[in-house]
Amino acid sequence: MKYTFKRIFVLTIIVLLLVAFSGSYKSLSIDKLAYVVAIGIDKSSSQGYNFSFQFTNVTSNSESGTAEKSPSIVNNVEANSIGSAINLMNSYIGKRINLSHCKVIVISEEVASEGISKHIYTLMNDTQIRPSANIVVSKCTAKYYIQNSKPILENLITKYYDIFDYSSNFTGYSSDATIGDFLNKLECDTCNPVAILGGMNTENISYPTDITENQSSSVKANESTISGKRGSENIGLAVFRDDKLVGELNALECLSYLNMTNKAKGFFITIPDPESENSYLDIYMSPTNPTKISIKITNGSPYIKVKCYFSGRIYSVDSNRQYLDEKKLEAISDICDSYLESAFSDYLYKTSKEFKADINEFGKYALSLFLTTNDFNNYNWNENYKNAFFDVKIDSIVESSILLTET
Amino acid sequence: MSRSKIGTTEAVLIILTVIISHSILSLPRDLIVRTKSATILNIIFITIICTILALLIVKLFKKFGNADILDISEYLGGKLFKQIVGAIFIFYYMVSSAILLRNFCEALGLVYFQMTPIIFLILLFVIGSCISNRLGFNVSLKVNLLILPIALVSIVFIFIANFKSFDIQKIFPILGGGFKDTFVTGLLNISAFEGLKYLYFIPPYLKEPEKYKKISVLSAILTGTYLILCVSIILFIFPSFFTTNEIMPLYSAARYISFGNFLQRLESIFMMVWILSFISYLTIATKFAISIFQKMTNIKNTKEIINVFGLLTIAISMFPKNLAVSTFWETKIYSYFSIAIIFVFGISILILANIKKRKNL
Amino acid sequence: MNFGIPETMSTERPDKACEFLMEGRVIIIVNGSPYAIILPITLIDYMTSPEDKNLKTNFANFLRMLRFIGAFLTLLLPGLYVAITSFHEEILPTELLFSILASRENVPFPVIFEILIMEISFELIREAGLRVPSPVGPTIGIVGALVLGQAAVSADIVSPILIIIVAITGIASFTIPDFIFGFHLRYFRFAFILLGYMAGFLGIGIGLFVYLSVLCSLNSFGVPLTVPIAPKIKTEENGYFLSPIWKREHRASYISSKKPNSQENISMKWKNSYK
Repeated sequence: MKYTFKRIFVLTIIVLLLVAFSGSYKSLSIDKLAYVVAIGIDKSSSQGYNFSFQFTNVTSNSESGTAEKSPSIVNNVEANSIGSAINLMNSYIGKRINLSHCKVIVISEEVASEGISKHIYTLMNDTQIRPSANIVVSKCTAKYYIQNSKPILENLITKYYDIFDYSSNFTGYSSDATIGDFLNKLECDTCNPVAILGGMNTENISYPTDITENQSSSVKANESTISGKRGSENIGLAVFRDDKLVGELNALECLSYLNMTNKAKGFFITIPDPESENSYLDIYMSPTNPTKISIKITNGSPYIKVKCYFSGRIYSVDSNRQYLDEKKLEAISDICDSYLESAFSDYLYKTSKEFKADINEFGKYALSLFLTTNDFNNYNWNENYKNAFFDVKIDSIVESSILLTET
Repeated sequence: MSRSKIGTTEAVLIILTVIISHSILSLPRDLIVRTKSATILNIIFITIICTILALLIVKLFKKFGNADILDISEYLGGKLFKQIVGAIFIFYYMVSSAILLRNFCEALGLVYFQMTPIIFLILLFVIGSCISNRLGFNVSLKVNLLILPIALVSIVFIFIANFKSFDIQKIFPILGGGFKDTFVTGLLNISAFEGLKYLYFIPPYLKEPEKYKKISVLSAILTGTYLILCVSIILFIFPSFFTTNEIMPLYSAARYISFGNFLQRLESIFMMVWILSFISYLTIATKFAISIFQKMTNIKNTKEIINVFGLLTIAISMFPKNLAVSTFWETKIYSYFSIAIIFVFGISILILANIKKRKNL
Repeated sequence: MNFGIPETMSTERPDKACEFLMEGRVIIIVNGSPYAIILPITLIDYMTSPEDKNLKTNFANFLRMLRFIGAFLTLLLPGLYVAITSFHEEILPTELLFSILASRENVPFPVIFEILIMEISFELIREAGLRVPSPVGPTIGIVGALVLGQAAVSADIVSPILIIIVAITGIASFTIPDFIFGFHLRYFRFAFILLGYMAGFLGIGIGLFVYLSVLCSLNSFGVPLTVPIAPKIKTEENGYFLSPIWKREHRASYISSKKPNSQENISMKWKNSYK
């Protein structure tokens, strides 16, 4: 009898638990969820925002293995906040929106200049968002950017979103800006966040009449000379002070940013050829040592010394040249040094005087100069950054060309 | 065997369960809020102090042979005092484990089970721990021996996997909030070493009583090392001057791990390991509470009492009205409670008993 | 409560019984039964096969590791799959998730129902295969594979990824040398499937804790089942892995055999030295 009672009791508990947890497992089943791949935020004509959600239609990825481009579906809704937008979209789609595979959050320039802290905090409050999702500030509308993000060399748009920030490793023209980093830098007193700069890529570009050597390195998104099948591009960075957009960095400045924050792995620069006028050399530089940064406080203003180390290989080779001559290589190295020094200096003074935003995280190097947190807070790094002095030294060694050493 | 025995490694791992379970919740963040960027310095300082205190406890126990603190309090104040001390310790064990259980279940409910009432999550944990307790005294210790190394490895894994996003400069300014803040007020961080509460009750159960000193020193040092790891993860990843409070900082740190593009968001796997270590902590805390009760009341068979203690745990964990109240208990009241009972009350009983013994000699 | 975990091992092979006898265990032979019962037994012994001692030690240890992985997969893989697709989809890489979604597009059943159908069909085929007459055996195997695999997927009854999961689970269950131990693992994976469906990783965690508790509470005639990990015993010959032949000098200490040394200290030396 006791045995039966025990059995019935155990069975009751199991059934009770199954019923109690039924709410969770019914609602989260994989069949009932729609996975958002990208979110876009625009300003709408009324007071609220225009949210765009990009989904992927998965039926074309069936097992037959044919390489079909999967179409993406972009739906828009106008609402006052992300929560109400998701609510409205849920009622339209039927399936429940799940943000755990959202790779990109696109914010238009207009919205960014008004302040985006509310959106960022709301998104990070959600358990589903990945901290490694990228933030893009687009110069066109976010809706246009998302609609024109079509995969060219891949099948799935998510694959493109996964790897497009990877190009910063070898070009230096963009950076990997994730929402997790953005949130950390928003909260940090001494640094300011950045986001990837995106824009339109249209086929009718009017080429300027004189292409100087700086043309390719001073481009930003929306203005590049690339023409291709995809209508969106990402070059440069958007600079924020606190949570408002204050400026943009072009390709060369973005390169400087990557070097200051030790994220650069290799990049091309174009310098004037010392042997002939009107001709240019492409050098592929890669950092050999991490950037050395040291800070001193003189007369209340920070004095920041930056030293970078590079090694380079000559990429563009011309006829009738000798590329293994020590003196010539030294001359090329000196030109590289001065080019990079002026580029980095210009960039640093731009962040300090024009943007007044410490996006290079120099504030954390200043922490060691103070003994207690109160002292550091009283110093107010953000206020004093705009009076900073910079001393940039570059030590680069151009070693050789690649396969051809003499022509 | 009338009394089951605990080996040396098992004893050390019992003391470590507490720190692992508490550090998943808000412990590292509380430490950092109190001592800011000097937390690592402060933890080293406190580990030294706690090792000395642990050695003091062992020395004070030496004269009494295989007795635990209940026998000593009986020697000090008679049977009534023994019951009072036993009741206080039972209350402390049950309330501390119930509060942590409530907070952990709230966090789990927020992340995964938003539609389930929280009592069912608590019920699952308590059922698991009751089944394990009914099977025997040594069972949960052996399971602990299997689970806890995996939990320790998981924290080391989070540390190593996040290494590339560490900012070592966040350890400056070296004195944090100042000398007084770090070393005087920072002494309150000693509540992190609440694992030492088991030191009062394990002497009768030890297989090798001469290793008692080694157990206490080893557990204090291992707790300190583990705390340094946890605190460094949170200090170096998240911004230094904490303005945002998260519900489980280590969980948020685990979300940042990514290996390439295919292995991301591994925090659910860590959650499973932490669930295992948490239920292990709950089982051991309940077991020791039951054994104290058995000693106080001389009950022979404790199988049915286990169910009662399980229900008591559920009742205490359902007491706070919502997450705000239970978080308040955990962050503000819990640390003072631990310090008062473990370090003030326990050590003073031992000192008074030693004085009485010396007078009688 | 012992969950069907066996506390003795039974074998028909004389060489296996002799090997355990030389290790110091007790063999029970009963007139009329072809099986010899070996006791006391530990968890590691369920994972060892008699051929291990004849292989080179590296290969033998590799095979042992493989069997532990097989045991883990048999018990937990379907449960983990159900838990991940119900509660924790963020672990999966995005492309894998989309291919799972695409393959499940036309399947009418929820994940739990699919997996129960497939697991039960697999058990049916396994049981039927025992009694199939030998001329027809291979044909039935092919028909079973075709029916279960290809046709079920083409008819959109199950999704292809589930076939992979069930196949891996089945193959892993065949790596376990002891039949009864393997059977009990197959028996309990249904409990883990149910727990995974109900509460995701929480359910599986609690289930795993209770399972480990029962495992640690069992004794095989006085010897705990999970020795040498729990309780921790310092020994030379008790580890999970085999040592080389010249190092097998001791018998397992938890058996308390009458002769603890099976070889002398340095066994590889010349016995008779000529002056």
